[in-house]
Amino acid sequence: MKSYFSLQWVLLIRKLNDLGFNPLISFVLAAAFFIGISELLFYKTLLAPFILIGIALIISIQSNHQAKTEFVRITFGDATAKTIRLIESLLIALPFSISLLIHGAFWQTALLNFLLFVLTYFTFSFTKQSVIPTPFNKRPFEFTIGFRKTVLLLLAAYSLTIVALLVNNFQLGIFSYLVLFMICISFYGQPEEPFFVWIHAKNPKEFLFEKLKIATIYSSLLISIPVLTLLVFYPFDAWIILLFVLIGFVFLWTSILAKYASFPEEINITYSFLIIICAPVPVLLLFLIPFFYKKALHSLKELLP
Amino acid sequence: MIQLKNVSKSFGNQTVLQDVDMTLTEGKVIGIVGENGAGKTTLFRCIAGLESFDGTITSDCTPLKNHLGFLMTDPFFFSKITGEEYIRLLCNAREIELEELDRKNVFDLPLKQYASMYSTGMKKKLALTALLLQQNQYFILDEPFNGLDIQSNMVLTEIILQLKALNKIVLVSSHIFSTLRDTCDEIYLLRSGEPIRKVLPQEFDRLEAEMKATTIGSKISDLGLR
Repeated sequence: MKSYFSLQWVLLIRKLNDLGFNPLISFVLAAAFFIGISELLFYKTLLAPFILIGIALIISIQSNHQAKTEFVRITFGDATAKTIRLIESLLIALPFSISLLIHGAFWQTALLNFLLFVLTYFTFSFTKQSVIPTPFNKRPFEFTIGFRKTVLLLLAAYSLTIVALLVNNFQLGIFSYLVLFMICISFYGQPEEPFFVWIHAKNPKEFLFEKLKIATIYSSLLISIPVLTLLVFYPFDAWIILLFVLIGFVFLWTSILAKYASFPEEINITYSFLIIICAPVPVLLLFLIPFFYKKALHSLKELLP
Repeated sequence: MIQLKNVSKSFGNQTVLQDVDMTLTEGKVIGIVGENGAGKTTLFRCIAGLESFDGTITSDCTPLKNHLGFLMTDPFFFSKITGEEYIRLLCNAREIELEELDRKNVFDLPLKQYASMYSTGMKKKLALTALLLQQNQYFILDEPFNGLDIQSNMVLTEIILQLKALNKIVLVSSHIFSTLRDTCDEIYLLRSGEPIRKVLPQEFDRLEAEMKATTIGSKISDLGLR
């Protein structure tokens, strides 16, 4: 297990060096950036703890993709692989947990670590072999795969809606469907093999609009239950509910465009930072969307002439 | 018809394809043979539009890629997607309505299972089924016989002959010469990125004998097996 973490450390340093960054300076800047953003979030919105939880969960899911999990499982065996994954997830979430604790968000810290535990131990065996039915069979791809990989997290998000209604916590209710949006965004975290873009008989513009359309329809399906429930229970706050739905969609569209703007490479670090910066001020996304759209058209031009 | 004129491709300083000229006509199965690294896969990727190249590739159906089914040597499959969903994904990409899939499952694949759990041969059969259901006009089959059992080999040979009868263009590579002999109308011999010869059916046996002599030579006897 120690050798695994040593290797991850070496890989991280090597990646930073390859990008031309000094590791020490990078860590200091990343820490400063994280502190700045989380402070800004706590200053701007009461939903800050939930946004931090969502981001931590997405990063945790992203860092444990199938190929890596399989490699760890084969190399170390099931039991050690689970422990490795749990430690890794807790390490990733550590800055988020510290930030939450500093701001007195104790039960949210517990919730984050509990969700990481659930993700690690249950998804590991539950999603291993069995074919989980999905409502996304007609257009199988991101949502079919993503749904199966995150089914327990989706159930946890739905449970949050129920808890929100039971304790009459409107903000928690909003957070529950924002988590669903974050999960949907995570479906677009990794670039697909170029072959799976090439197969489309579409030009880049049609391809992107198709992706955005499917993402909008399928994510609407996922968020519909908590959103409709909240609209029934909090009719006077309907505009807030719908405003956050709109914000969720805009983040989802931006993330999809950012993915194809970086295609066929993984999503650019700078692009990720730009999106994160927009978290406290979502209106800034309106400037990012045309930028990513143009970049995406350019990136897809080769494969979809 | 697909026409290649002066198609060249380099990776850095290494030239992989050098002035390839080929005319591929409807109703023909064209074989490509050559050693590992001769440039077969790169040639296929250039025709498909998955690689940039110098020279020109033109076709009657444009854009070529929208009418082309490309079976890769080692098809990629996502985790958590079933065989049926994989086929649906490829058909949706070409806006082809998928009907009666069970009847069209010629290789009797377990389509309700995750494709990533399939064996190498089953993955190849799944990818091939998807390409066939896409109703393409052109087919590139890179090592389609690799990993297939003997029954599936026979089915695939029949499928290729059926595609030929339907006036499609099929470009196929294989390291198993007999499979090419059974299906091809012409075979191009590729060496170091250059098509050095085009061989017609009456010369297939001679080509095989020549390739054996060149490739094997005295290497086996040099092993000193006892």
